[in-house]
Amino acid sequence: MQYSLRPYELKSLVPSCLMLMTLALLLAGCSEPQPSQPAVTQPDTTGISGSGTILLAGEMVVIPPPALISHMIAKESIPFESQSLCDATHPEQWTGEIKKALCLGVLGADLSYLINHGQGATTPQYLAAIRRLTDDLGISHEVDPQLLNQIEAGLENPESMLGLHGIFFRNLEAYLKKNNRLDISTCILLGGWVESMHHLANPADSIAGHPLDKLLADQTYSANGIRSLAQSIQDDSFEDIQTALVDLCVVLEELEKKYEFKEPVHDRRQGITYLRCQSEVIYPDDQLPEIHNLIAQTRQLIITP
Amino acid sequence: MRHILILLYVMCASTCAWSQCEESLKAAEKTFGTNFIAEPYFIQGMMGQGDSLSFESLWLANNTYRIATSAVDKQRINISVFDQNNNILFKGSEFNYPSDWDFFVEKSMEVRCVIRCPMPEPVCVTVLTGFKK
Repeated sequence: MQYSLRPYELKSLVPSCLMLMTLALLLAGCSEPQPSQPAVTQPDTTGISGSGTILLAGEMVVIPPPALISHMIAKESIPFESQSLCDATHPEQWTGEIKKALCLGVLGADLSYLINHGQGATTPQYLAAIRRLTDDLGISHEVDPQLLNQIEAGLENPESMLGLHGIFFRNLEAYLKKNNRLDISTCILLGGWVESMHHLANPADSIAGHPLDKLLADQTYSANGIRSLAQSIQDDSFEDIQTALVDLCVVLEELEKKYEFKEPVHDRRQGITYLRCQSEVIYPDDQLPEIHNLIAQTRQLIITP
Repeated sequence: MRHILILLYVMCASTCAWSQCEESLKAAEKTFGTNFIAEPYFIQGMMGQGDSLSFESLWLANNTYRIATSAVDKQRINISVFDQNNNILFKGSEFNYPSDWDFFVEKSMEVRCVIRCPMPEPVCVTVLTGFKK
């Protein structure tokens, strides 16, 4: 005996099936995933391409974090320079979400610069300003209050401070990604990058052949990603900064690069690979002042209320 | 009615994915360890067979970098690293699919990291990178 359904019977079954599916999902809730649980296949982050490749904010971004830049400046034994920092005494002067996010990035980079140079006495002022900006942006509740307390309490231990600093900004990043506030996330990143560039450029302003010049020139590899990110923001308040950022990136991208592949050496026991490829960025001395000027102009546009 | 049910289905599925991804970030942080400083920007996504997570990074000279994934237990996540000319620098499949690996960089260079997950069912994968203290 065969059973068949007429079209109207089939149609009436659809809501019931959907209801059952929904009930089953609700009952299953979001408990621990079981091997037999139906797979959730949609992507949960931004910038997924058709091939399943996931990019950060839709772009292949190539930038070293401010914490690493300031770490490398400290490793070069470049002394602390207070003029490398942005004034953090009046965070309320920055208005608008874009400006606040950019300046949050700036202050985050300054905080890592302070930590790396053992300037514990100045960090509370920057932490307070960062707290104020995250409050204004409505993202401070996503950061565990204990974490901020730990950062404040960990002033005597720069290494643990840097770790906490990273966790702090990762918490913010996770929240912003989850809530699709990509412009804010991007601006924090851009502000941090510009301030890091300033940290690299400022001490070298008046010294030819400064050890940080090379590190600054290496940013040629970041320029393309930064330019794409800057161009992704469509906001009137960002227009001038965007133009300045693009100009800076164009000049950086024009620097000549040399590269030679060499076979890496693997140490299986230690779980490390030694990358021996040779690379060089060639920069004429007369091009550096132009880069320094563009960095100073871009930064000024960001931090001016 | 049907639209409401579909919406409910999508909302529930999304919440489950997010929950899984939050756990995944914690797992990656655990794998990453405490001797390295993780970059604030992490890469994350639902991955199934044939999917790949890919990102580029600038690694600066004289630093040791770590790539750590959220792979646990029997999850075999394949980390591959290529240079700017697509030369292979590291292939996790040749080292028993480690969940994390370190790279010392002699000269600053651009690298492209590709993470593949040969699991039959999609899982949320998080990738953290960072540098040695």
